[in-house]
Amino acid sequence: MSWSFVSYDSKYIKENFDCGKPVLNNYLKTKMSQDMKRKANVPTLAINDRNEVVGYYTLSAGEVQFENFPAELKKKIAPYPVSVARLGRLAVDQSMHGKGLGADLLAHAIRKTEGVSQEIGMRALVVDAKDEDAESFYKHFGFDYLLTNSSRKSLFLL
Amino acid sequence: MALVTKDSKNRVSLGNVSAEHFIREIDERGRIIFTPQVMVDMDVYENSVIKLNDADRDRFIAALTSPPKRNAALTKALHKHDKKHGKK
Repeated sequence: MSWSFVSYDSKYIKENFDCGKPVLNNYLKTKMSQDMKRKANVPTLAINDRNEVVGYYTLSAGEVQFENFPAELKKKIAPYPVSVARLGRLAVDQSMHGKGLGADLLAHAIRKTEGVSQEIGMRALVVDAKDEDAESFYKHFGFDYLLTNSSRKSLFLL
Repeated sequence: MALVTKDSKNRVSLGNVSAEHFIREIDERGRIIFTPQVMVDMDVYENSVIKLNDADRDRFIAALTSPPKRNAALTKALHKHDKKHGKK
């Protein structure tokens, strides 16, 4: 089964979407359009040839700050705070598990971020792994931990 | 700060604000102060700023100044993506 990437539009069928995680299902069906309208993030949908949503991810802007920022580091790291892109959510319908869609969504997000970073300063892509499956997924593709010793699993890719 | 006035029924107009919640306080002069509070989903707020401790800061800066090569899995996924969809 093939898919294509599109911008969010209410015409795409999302009622049957089920990635196995209710919070991600619910987000697509009830909150995504609101977040997009208030520019909290920009969603990208993966749709099949029947215009059904089979996957999605969201991107937004973020920044990384430091608790302490000694003067000797300022030259190395300017500008500060460090601007990053945030991959807030990524989900794949269960019917498409094991078909490479998750990797393709991630690749699409990375290429999109690279394009944006040519226009405005973005130095990394940061993700929040909501569970162990997500953590394993991102680590498989080379993401490294941004936060250690934290219950929050934030990882980054340059 | 703009002041608002009460109407004949002691009602205060807050104009076109669309804040979801107001904090109501009374100042020393007995005036009621409404402060709009915009409610933001925790995950939206959390996602916007990340603060690193010293150890995580040093690791992150080291990576920024000397970026690691992308691994084989990611390289393959990007290549496959570019071939299928065209590189933007």
